[in-house]
Amino acid sequence: MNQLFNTLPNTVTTTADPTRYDLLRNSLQHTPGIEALVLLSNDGLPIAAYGVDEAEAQRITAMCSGMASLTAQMAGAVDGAGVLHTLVTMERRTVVMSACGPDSALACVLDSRAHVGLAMREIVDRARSFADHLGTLPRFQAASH
Amino acid sequence: MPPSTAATVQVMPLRVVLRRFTATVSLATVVLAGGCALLLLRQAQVSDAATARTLRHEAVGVGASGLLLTFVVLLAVRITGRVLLARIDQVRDTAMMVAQHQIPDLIRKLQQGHEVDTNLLPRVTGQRDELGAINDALARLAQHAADAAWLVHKERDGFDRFAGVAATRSLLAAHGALDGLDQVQRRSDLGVEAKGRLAAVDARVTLLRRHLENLLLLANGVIPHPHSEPVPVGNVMLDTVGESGAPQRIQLEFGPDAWVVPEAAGALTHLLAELADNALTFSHGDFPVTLRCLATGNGVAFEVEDRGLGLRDERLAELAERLKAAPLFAEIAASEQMGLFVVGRLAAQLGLSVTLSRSRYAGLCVVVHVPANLLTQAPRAAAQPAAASAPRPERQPVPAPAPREPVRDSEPPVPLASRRRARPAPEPLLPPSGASSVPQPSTVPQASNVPQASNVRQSSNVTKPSYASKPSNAPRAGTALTEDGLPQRVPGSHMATALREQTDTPRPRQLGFTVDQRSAEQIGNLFDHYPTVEESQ
Repeated sequence: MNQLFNTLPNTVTTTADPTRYDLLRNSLQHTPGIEALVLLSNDGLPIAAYGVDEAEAQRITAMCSGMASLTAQMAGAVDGAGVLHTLVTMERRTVVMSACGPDSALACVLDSRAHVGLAMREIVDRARSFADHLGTLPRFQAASH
Repeated sequence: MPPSTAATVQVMPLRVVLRRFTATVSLATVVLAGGCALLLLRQAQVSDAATARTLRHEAVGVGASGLLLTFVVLLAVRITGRVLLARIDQVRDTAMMVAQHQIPDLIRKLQQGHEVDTNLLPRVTGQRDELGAINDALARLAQHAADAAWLVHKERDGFDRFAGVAATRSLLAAHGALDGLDQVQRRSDLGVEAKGRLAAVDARVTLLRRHLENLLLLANGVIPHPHSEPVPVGNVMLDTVGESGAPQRIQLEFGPDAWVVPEAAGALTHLLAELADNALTFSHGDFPVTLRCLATGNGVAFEVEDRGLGLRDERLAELAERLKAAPLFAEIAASEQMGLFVVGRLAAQLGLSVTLSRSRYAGLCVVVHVPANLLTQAPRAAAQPAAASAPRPERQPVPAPAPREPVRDSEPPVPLASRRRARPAPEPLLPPSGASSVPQPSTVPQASNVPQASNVRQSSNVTKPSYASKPSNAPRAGTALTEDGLPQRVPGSHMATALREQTDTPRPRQLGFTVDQRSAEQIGNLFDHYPTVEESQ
């Protein structure tokens, strides 16, 4: 398992208490093959990122937003209701996107050789445990903090 | 015990003396009577019949009267001995009880300020004989001793009250001085030097206030509590730093997010300041003193640790004693420092436990455990997330400008206990929403900085209310001004109005991911056979 992962710093500065995102990172370190994670708000801003630098985090966030919008369209087209998870499987990496707290989403970059079932189990489980603390505040509230 | 003049004489109990004396006298009487009877009988053998009969009669008479006399003597001695010994025993028992139990108990109780009952002491009976006189003398002696102890107690009580009144008056004066200084310090037309001098005077007067509070405490008084709202433990620590003699030498390690009930906060601050001062005094000037706060199973604990020279075990035990019992003024005066007596008194008042031990750095480490009944919930108004766990370390003695009701000169005198004063305490850490908020330095101590399992829960408790907090109208950039009239940046005020203000339009629900209601196991199972790269190639 990736012991190095829990020493990676958060590359995105957020106004709120940054240490709470470290908890998510620490608990996700046992996810098989995890290489990076980006916590993003549903309106397309990165909240916390580990394993990627800030520019990459911004790009991943932007692309996740685009994909979320695309998949939502897809759901509408096939009458699929809400989108639960998105997996993008590539030659070397797999990206898993899932809900994580109110108005937030979690994108995890995995090594493609890893067992996706186990990884999904971990990611969903952890995202659910920390969901209450990882949500995105509405901007008008976040501004006052 | 008075020196015995006949030290060589074996002192034996009266009972034994009497018994031996009786035995000797009886034996002598019997021997005498028997001897006389035998003599008469021998005479009877050598004389004629008539004389012999008379002599035999006389011998019988002598023997019988001798036996009778012995019997009478025995009886008399026995009865007298019984009566006398019983009374002597009674007097002895009374004397022993008075000397060994009653008077010491009475003195101890009076010292501790308890009520005593003098009815149990022996009374003057007025008996004329020797033992009665001894008993009366004993009773008078006991009464005098009780009276003397009572007088000492009255004196002490009177001094307590006198010192309490004097200390309270001086304390009022000190508070007045601090209020005046505070107003002067808030003036904007002061130069840097003047401000510095005022701050120094302020620190001195604060020290004066603390010493007066010490006096009040040692005079059995209760110090006024300056708070009316629950106080975060971080603020208690900052107040402690402000009250101590050398604020720059105290290192703070902030811990859990907890709030102290307002009645206990002032006393707790005072207690910690005393401990901190003790630590500062007994460690080298280059070394810091660490004040840290830790969460415990039942409440929170403050730890004051120094890197001083440390103490020998017996001295440590002696100091620990000081924390327990209410000291006599003689004991306080005998020791050159009275801080620990004050700590002991405060701990007894609040119900805290204070433990002294050797620190890891060979100095002294004092742990003050604050039980959960002295902690409370955060007040509703202050239950905002980030700042609740982030007390701002403020080292300069001049309080930061913050909303504070103007003090008028014509203000009616406020009772001491209700005065709000935490000096040179940092002002409330959480500026009310909409007020000019001070930018937080980046080195804000966080609750979760302390690596401790319970902090995970703590910090999550802190962050929770943020979702429920009502929208605040953040001021626009440039509206907040410092006391010098300079504009102050307000975090978040740079955002576009649409982002900053609450809009009535509901946020589109279809944006983002929907929460999967199935269990993590079920979801994992779905993807269990998701092809990995090796399998597909």
